[in-house]
Amino acid sequence: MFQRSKIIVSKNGGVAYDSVMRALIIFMVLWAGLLSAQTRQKGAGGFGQRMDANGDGKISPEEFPGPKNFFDQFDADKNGFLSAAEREAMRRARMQQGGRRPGQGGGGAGQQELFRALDLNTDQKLSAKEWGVLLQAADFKKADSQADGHVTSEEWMHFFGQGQRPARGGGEGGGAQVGALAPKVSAQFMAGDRALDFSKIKRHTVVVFGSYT
Amino acid sequence: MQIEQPKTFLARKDVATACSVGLKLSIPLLVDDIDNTVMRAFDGFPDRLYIIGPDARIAFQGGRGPRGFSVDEMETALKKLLVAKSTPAKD
Repeated sequence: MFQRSKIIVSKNGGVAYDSVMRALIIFMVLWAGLLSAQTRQKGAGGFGQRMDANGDGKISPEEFPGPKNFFDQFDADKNGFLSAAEREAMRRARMQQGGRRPGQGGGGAGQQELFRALDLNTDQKLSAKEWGVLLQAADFKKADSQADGHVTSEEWMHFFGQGQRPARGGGEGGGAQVGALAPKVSAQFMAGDRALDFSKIKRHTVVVFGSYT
Repeated sequence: MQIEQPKTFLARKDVATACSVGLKLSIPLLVDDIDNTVMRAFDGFPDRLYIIGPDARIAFQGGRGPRGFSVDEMETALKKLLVAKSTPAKD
Protein backbone atom coordinates (compact mmCIF):
# COMPACT_ATOMS: atom_id res chain seq x y z
CA MET A 1 0.00 0.00 0.00
CA PHE A 2 2.72 2.48 0.89
CA GLN A 3 5.01 3.94 -1.69
CA ARG A 4 8.67 3.93 -1.02
CA SER A 5 9.76 7.47 -0.37
CA LYS A 6 13.11 9.04 -0.86
CA ILE A 7 13.64 9.19 2.85
CA ILE A 8 16.41 7.03 4.15
CA VAL A 9 15.81 5.18 7.36
CA SER A 10 18.71 4.43 9.62
CA LYS A 11 19.07 1.37 11.81
CA ASN A 12 17.92 3.11 14.97
CA GLY A 13 14.69 4.18 13.31
CA GLY A 14 15.82 7.73 12.76
CA VAL A 15 15.56 9.21 9.33
CA ALA A 16 18.22 11.25 7.63
CA TYR A 17 16.55 13.20 4.92
CA ASP A 18 19.87 14.30 3.55
CA SER A 19 23.23 15.26 4.89
CA VAL A 20 22.18 18.67 6.19
CA MET A 21 18.70 17.90 7.42
CA ARG A 22 17.90 17.14 11.00
CA ALA A 23 17.07 13.51 11.53
CA LEU A 24 13.47 12.79 12.26
CA ILE A 25 11.41 9.79 12.99
CA ILE A 26 8.65 8.43 10.90
CA PHE A 27 5.83 6.62 12.50
CA MET A 28 3.14 4.64 10.90
CA VAL A 29 -0.12 4.43 12.68
CA LEU A 30 -1.84 1.29 11.69
CA TRP A 31 -5.49 0.60 11.98
CA ALA A 32 -4.97 -2.69 10.23
CA GLY A 33 -7.52 -5.18 9.24
CA LEU A 34 -10.38 -2.98 8.12
CA LEU A 35 -10.95 -5.16 5.08
CA SER A 36 -12.84 -8.08 6.44
CA ALA A 37 -12.66 -11.48 4.91
CA GLN A 38 -15.63 -12.46 2.84
CA THR A 39 -18.37 -14.08 4.89
CA ARG A 40 -17.28 -17.56 5.70
CA GLN A 41 -19.53 -20.10 4.04
CA LYS A 42 -19.88 -23.79 4.65
CA GLY A 43 -16.88 -25.49 3.14
CA ALA A 44 -15.55 -22.15 2.01
CA GLY A 45 -11.87 -21.81 1.37
CA GLY A 46 -10.71 -19.91 -1.67
CA PHE A 47 -11.21 -16.47 -3.00
CA GLY A 48 -14.13 -17.37 -5.28
CA GLN A 49 -15.76 -19.88 -2.96
CA ARG A 50 -16.41 -17.21 -0.40
CA MET A 51 -18.46 -15.19 -2.92
CA ASP A 52 -20.47 -18.18 -4.17
CA ALA A 53 -23.43 -17.73 -1.85
CA ASN A 54 -25.64 -20.37 -3.49
CA GLY A 55 -22.83 -22.85 -4.02
CA ASP A 56 -23.48 -23.35 -7.71
CA GLY A 57 -19.80 -23.09 -8.59
CA LYS A 58 -20.03 -19.77 -10.36
CA ILE A 59 -20.27 -16.13 -9.32
CA SER A 60 -23.26 -14.13 -10.44
CA PRO A 61 -23.30 -10.32 -10.61
CA GLU A 62 -25.47 -10.37 -7.49
CA GLU A 63 -22.91 -12.42 -5.58
CA PHE A 64 -20.01 -10.30 -6.74
CA PRO A 65 -19.23 -7.58 -4.20
CA GLY A 66 -17.20 -5.35 -6.46
CA PRO A 67 -18.16 -2.84 -9.11
CA LYS A 68 -19.95 -4.11 -12.22
CA ASN A 69 -17.27 -2.90 -14.58
CA PHE A 70 -14.78 -5.01 -12.67
CA PHE A 71 -17.08 -8.04 -12.98
CA ASP A 72 -17.52 -7.43 -16.72
CA GLN A 73 -13.78 -7.05 -17.19
CA PHE A 74 -13.14 -10.60 -16.02
CA ASP A 75 -16.25 -12.24 -17.49
CA ALA A 76 -14.19 -13.25 -20.52
CA ASP A 77 -16.90 -15.38 -22.22
CA LYS A 78 -19.59 -12.79 -21.41
CA ASN A 79 -22.03 -15.37 -20.11
CA GLY A 80 -22.95 -13.28 -17.11
CA PHE A 81 -21.06 -15.45 -14.60
CA LEU A 82 -17.51 -15.75 -13.38
CA SER A 83 -16.17 -19.25 -13.80
CA ALA A 84 -13.34 -20.75 -11.77
CA ALA A 85 -10.84 -19.84 -14.49
CA GLU A 86 -12.14 -16.29 -14.69
CA ARG A 87 -11.99 -15.98 -10.90
CA GLU A 88 -8.39 -17.18 -10.98
CA ALA A 89 -7.56 -14.52 -13.55
CA MET A 90 -9.14 -11.93 -11.29
CA ARG A 91 -7.18 -13.20 -8.30
CA ARG A 92 -3.91 -12.97 -10.24
CA ALA A 93 -4.76 -9.46 -11.34
CA ARG A 94 -5.45 -8.45 -7.74
CA MET A 95 -2.17 -9.96 -6.60
CA GLN A 96 -0.36 -7.93 -9.22
CA GLN A 97 -1.91 -4.84 -7.71
CA GLY A 98 -0.32 -5.68 -4.40
CA GLY A 99 2.14 -2.81 -4.68
CA ARG A 100 -0.55 -0.26 -5.29
CA ARG A 101 -2.50 1.66 -2.75
CA PRO A 102 -6.26 1.25 -2.39
CA GLY A 103 -8.08 3.19 -5.02
CA GLN A 104 -5.25 3.06 -7.51
CA GLY A 105 -6.08 1.02 -10.58
CA GLY A 106 -8.61 -1.77 -10.82
CA GLY A 107 -11.45 0.70 -11.11
CA GLY A 108 -11.18 1.76 -7.45
CA ALA A 109 -11.59 -1.82 -6.26
CA GLY A 110 -9.72 -1.00 -3.06
CA GLN A 111 -12.13 1.77 -2.15
CA GLN A 112 -15.04 -0.53 -2.96
CA GLU A 113 -13.69 -3.09 -0.54
CA LEU A 114 -13.46 -0.47 2.17
CA PHE A 115 -17.07 0.47 1.50
CA ARG A 116 -18.19 -3.15 1.81
CA ALA A 117 -16.28 -3.52 5.06
CA LEU A 118 -18.25 -0.65 6.58
CA ASP A 119 -21.57 -1.84 5.12
CA LEU A 120 -22.33 -4.05 8.09
CA ASN A 121 -25.90 -4.92 7.09
CA THR A 122 -24.87 -5.36 3.42
CA ASP A 123 -27.67 -3.20 2.08
CA GLN A 124 -25.26 -1.61 -0.42
CA LYS A 125 -25.32 1.74 1.35
CA LEU A 126 -23.89 3.26 4.48
CA SER A 127 -26.06 4.66 7.21
CA ALA A 128 -24.80 7.41 9.46
CA LYS A 129 -24.19 4.78 12.13
CA GLU A 130 -22.14 2.57 9.80
CA TRP A 131 -20.23 5.61 8.60
CA GLY A 132 -19.52 6.68 12.16
CA VAL A 133 -17.72 3.44 12.98
CA LEU A 134 -14.60 4.97 11.50
CA LEU A 135 -15.39 8.34 9.98
CA GLN A 136 -16.46 11.71 11.23
CA ALA A 137 -20.11 12.65 11.20
CA ALA A 138 -19.40 15.95 9.44
CA ASP A 139 -17.99 14.05 6.48
CA PHE A 140 -21.13 11.89 6.21
CA LYS A 141 -23.16 14.92 5.25
CA LYS A 142 -20.54 15.92 2.71
CA ALA A 143 -20.55 12.47 1.16
CA ASP A 144 -24.37 12.14 1.17
CA SER A 145 -24.81 14.27 -1.93
CA GLN A 146 -28.44 13.16 -2.31
CA ALA A 147 -29.13 14.12 1.29
CA ASP A 148 -31.26 11.01 1.72
CA GLY A 149 -29.63 9.78 4.87
CA HIS A 150 -27.44 7.16 3.20
CA VAL A 151 -24.17 7.09 1.33
CA THR A 152 -24.30 4.88 -1.71
CA SER A 153 -21.31 3.27 -3.36
CA GLU A 154 -21.36 5.94 -6.03
CA GLU A 155 -21.44 8.74 -3.47
CA TRP A 156 -18.61 7.03 -1.59
CA MET A 157 -16.40 6.82 -4.69
CA HIS A 158 -17.19 10.41 -5.58
CA PHE A 159 -16.35 11.59 -2.06
CA PHE A 160 -12.95 9.94 -2.00
CA GLY A 161 -12.29 10.64 -5.65
CA GLN A 162 -12.32 14.33 -4.90
CA GLY A 163 -9.21 13.79 -2.83
CA GLN A 164 -10.46 16.03 -0.05
CA ARG A 165 -7.45 18.26 -0.28
CA PRO A 166 -7.04 20.70 2.58
CA ALA A 167 -7.84 24.35 2.06
CA ARG A 168 -4.97 26.82 1.78
CA GLY A 169 -3.29 27.05 5.11
CA GLY A 170 -4.16 23.49 5.91
CA GLY A 171 -7.21 21.79 7.23
CA GLU A 172 -10.44 20.76 5.62
CA GLY A 173 -12.74 20.84 8.53
CA GLY A 174 -11.65 17.45 9.74
CA GLY A 175 -8.81 16.04 11.74
CA ALA A 176 -5.98 17.92 13.30
CA GLN A 177 -5.64 21.36 11.78
CA VAL A 178 -2.38 23.07 10.93
CA GLY A 179 -1.20 25.19 13.83
CA ALA A 180 -3.26 23.35 16.43
CA LEU A 181 -1.70 21.22 19.13
CA ALA A 182 -1.59 17.56 18.20
CA PRO A 183 -4.47 15.65 19.76
CA LYS A 184 -3.78 14.27 23.19
CA VAL A 185 -4.01 10.64 22.15
CA SER A 186 -1.56 7.78 22.34
CA ALA A 187 -0.74 4.70 20.33
CA GLN A 188 1.35 1.74 21.29
CA PHE A 189 4.47 0.73 19.46
CA MET A 190 4.13 -2.55 17.64
CA ALA A 191 7.26 -3.80 19.36
CA GLY A 192 7.19 -3.69 23.13
CA ASP A 193 4.77 -1.97 25.46
CA ARG A 194 5.83 1.66 25.04
CA ALA A 195 3.31 4.18 23.84
CA LEU A 196 3.61 7.50 22.09
CA ASP A 197 1.60 10.49 23.27
CA PHE A 198 1.22 12.65 20.16
CA SER A 199 0.76 15.79 22.25
CA LYS A 200 4.25 15.38 23.68
CA ILE A 201 6.23 15.05 20.49
CA LYS A 202 9.40 17.12 20.62
CA ARG A 203 10.94 16.67 17.19
CA HIS A 204 9.72 16.95 13.64
CA THR A 205 7.76 13.80 13.06
CA VAL A 206 6.05 12.48 9.97
CA VAL A 207 2.99 10.42 10.75
CA VAL A 208 1.67 8.09 8.10
CA PHE A 209 -1.86 6.78 8.56
CA GLY A 210 -2.70 3.65 6.69
CA SER A 211 -3.93 0.12 6.75
CA TYR A 212 -2.60 -3.25 5.84
CA THR A 213 -4.92 -5.34 3.83
CA MET B 1 -4.45 -10.76 0.45
CA GLN B 2 -7.44 -10.54 2.75
CA ILE B 3 -7.20 -9.96 6.45
CA GLU B 4 -10.04 -10.51 8.82
CA GLN B 5 -10.88 -7.45 10.83
CA PRO B 6 -9.20 -7.86 14.20
CA LYS B 7 -11.54 -7.90 17.15
CA THR B 8 -8.87 -7.42 19.79
CA PHE B 9 -5.89 -5.15 20.13
CA LEU B 10 -3.53 -8.12 20.30
CA ALA B 11 -4.94 -9.48 17.05
CA ARG B 12 -4.37 -6.08 15.50
CA LYS B 13 -0.77 -6.12 16.70
CA ASP B 14 -0.36 -9.45 14.93
CA VAL B 15 -1.57 -7.83 11.72
CA ALA B 16 0.89 -5.00 12.31
CA THR B 17 3.68 -7.54 12.62
CA ALA B 18 2.61 -9.11 9.34
CA CYS B 19 2.59 -5.65 7.78
CA SER B 20 6.07 -4.88 9.05
CA VAL B 21 7.42 -8.15 7.71
CA GLY B 22 5.46 -8.05 4.47
CA LEU B 23 6.49 -4.51 3.60
CA LYS B 24 10.00 -4.95 5.05
CA LEU B 25 9.55 -1.81 7.11
CA SER B 26 12.45 -0.35 9.01
CA ILE B 27 10.54 2.54 10.52
CA PRO B 28 8.73 2.45 13.84
CA LEU B 29 5.19 1.14 13.70
CA LEU B 30 2.42 2.27 16.01
CA VAL B 31 -0.83 0.40 16.42
CA ASP B 32 -4.09 2.21 17.05
CA ASP B 33 -6.40 0.79 19.70
CA ILE B 34 -9.41 -1.23 18.66
CA ASP B 35 -11.61 1.87 18.94
CA ASN B 36 -9.40 3.65 16.38
CA THR B 37 -8.89 6.52 18.81
CA VAL B 38 -5.88 8.02 17.08
CA MET B 39 -7.33 7.58 13.61
CA ARG B 40 -10.50 9.39 14.66
CA ALA B 41 -8.60 12.21 16.34
CA PHE B 42 -6.53 12.82 13.23
CA ASP B 43 -9.27 11.86 10.77
CA GLY B 44 -6.68 9.66 9.16
CA PHE B 45 -9.02 7.28 7.33
CA PRO B 46 -8.23 5.63 4.95
CA ASP B 47 -4.72 7.02 4.67
CA ARG B 48 -3.19 10.39 5.34
CA LEU B 49 0.06 12.18 6.05
CA TYR B 50 0.84 14.59 8.85
CA ILE B 51 3.91 16.40 10.07
CA ILE B 52 4.03 17.29 13.75
CA GLY B 53 6.52 19.94 14.77
CA PRO B 54 8.86 19.94 17.79
CA ASP B 55 6.31 22.11 19.56
CA ALA B 56 3.77 19.27 19.20
CA ARG B 57 1.72 21.41 16.83
CA ILE B 58 0.44 20.25 13.48
CA ALA B 59 2.84 21.55 10.86
CA PHE B 60 1.33 19.81 7.85
CA GLN B 61 -1.94 18.05 7.15
CA GLY B 62 -2.11 16.13 3.91
CA GLY B 63 -5.20 15.42 1.93
CA ARG B 64 -7.31 12.36 2.52
CA GLY B 65 -6.21 9.31 0.58
CA PRO B 66 -6.08 7.74 -1.79
CA ARG B 67 -6.12 10.63 -4.22
CA GLY B 68 -5.14 13.22 -1.66
CA PHE B 69 -2.29 11.15 -0.28
CA SER B 70 0.83 12.81 -1.65
CA VAL B 71 4.32 11.94 -0.46
CA ASP B 72 5.74 14.65 -2.74
CA GLU B 73 3.56 17.29 -1.11
CA MET B 74 4.64 16.13 2.32
CA GLU B 75 8.31 16.10 1.33
CA THR B 76 8.07 19.67 0.06
CA ALA B 77 6.48 20.79 3.31
CA LEU B 78 9.06 18.88 5.34
CA LYS B 79 11.97 20.47 3.49
CA LYS B 80 10.58 23.93 4.15
CA LEU B 81 10.08 23.18 7.82
CA LEU B 82 13.56 21.78 8.32
CA VAL B 83 15.23 24.60 6.38
CA ALA B 84 13.30 27.17 8.40
CA LYS B 85 14.39 25.47 11.59
CA SER B 86 18.04 25.43 10.59
CA THR B 87 18.05 29.05 9.44
CA PRO B 88 18.82 31.46 12.28
CA ALA B 89 16.21 34.16 12.76
CA LYS B 90 17.41 37.63 11.81
CA ASP B 91 17.35 40.29 14.50
